[in-house]
Amino acid sequence: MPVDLHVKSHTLSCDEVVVKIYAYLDGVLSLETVSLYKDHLDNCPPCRGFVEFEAKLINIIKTKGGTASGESIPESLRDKILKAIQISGNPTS
Amino acid sequence: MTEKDFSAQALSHAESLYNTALRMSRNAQDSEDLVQDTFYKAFRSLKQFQEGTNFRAWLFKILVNTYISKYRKATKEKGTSGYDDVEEFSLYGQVHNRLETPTDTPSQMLDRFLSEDIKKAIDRLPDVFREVVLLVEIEGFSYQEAADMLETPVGTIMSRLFRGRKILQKSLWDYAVDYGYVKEKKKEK
Repeated sequence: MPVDLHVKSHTLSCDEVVVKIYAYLDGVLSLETVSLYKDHLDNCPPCRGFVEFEAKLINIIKTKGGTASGESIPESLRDKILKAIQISGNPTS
Repeated sequence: MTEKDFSAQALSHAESLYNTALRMSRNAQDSEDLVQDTFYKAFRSLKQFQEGTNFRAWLFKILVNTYISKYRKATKEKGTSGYDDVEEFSLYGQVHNRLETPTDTPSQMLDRFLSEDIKKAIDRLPDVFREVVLLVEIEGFSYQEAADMLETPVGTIMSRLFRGRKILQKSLWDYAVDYGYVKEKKKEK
């Protein structure tokens, strides 16, 4: 396993923070880049404001636009589901 | 997985399957049929489910496959053009520049959006963007899981999600102005 001496070769610019915003918030950046990203946010209030806003927006879209505030299953569908499971009988390949 | 396990587990996902179907097809009857078909197919092909893999993702893949083959055939990429300029749009930038309520920060302004606003903005997304937003942003699937469900490369999922999010931001900005969540600066004539 390579030893990470953690000598950071570079830092992220504000432009890179903007470009990588969704990769950061969706959790697909490498650990090293996440570390650089966080370092930048610690030292850059404008970027921090931007990232906090985008994170909150994603959260609001998920909570206010999601299943938790969605429709319950109609009774008619509940019956259809139970039928679908019964009618289909034993699972086959 | 036994039939009994299937019934218990699958039924616990029925509501999110139904809501996703409803918002993909935008039709109550179609979405009931979609969920019914999903349960029927899943139950019949239960032996194909690999134990240890994500059961919820497997159910959603069946739902999405059924939706695409039955209801989305005709649309394909239609309706995705005309959004080229949206990639540069930033809701944060707009709000930051034009917020007139001194007590609000841009983040606080977001609290003013109602559930109806968010849902309306999602519902208005063109199909290919709405699908990815629903699967990744709302249902929390990974890029790879969404790519498997939609049978599309991960890179395509990422670009559709990016554009979908930007179109959402643009719609939300329009609502914010229309409903007075922010005041738009008067245009100079």
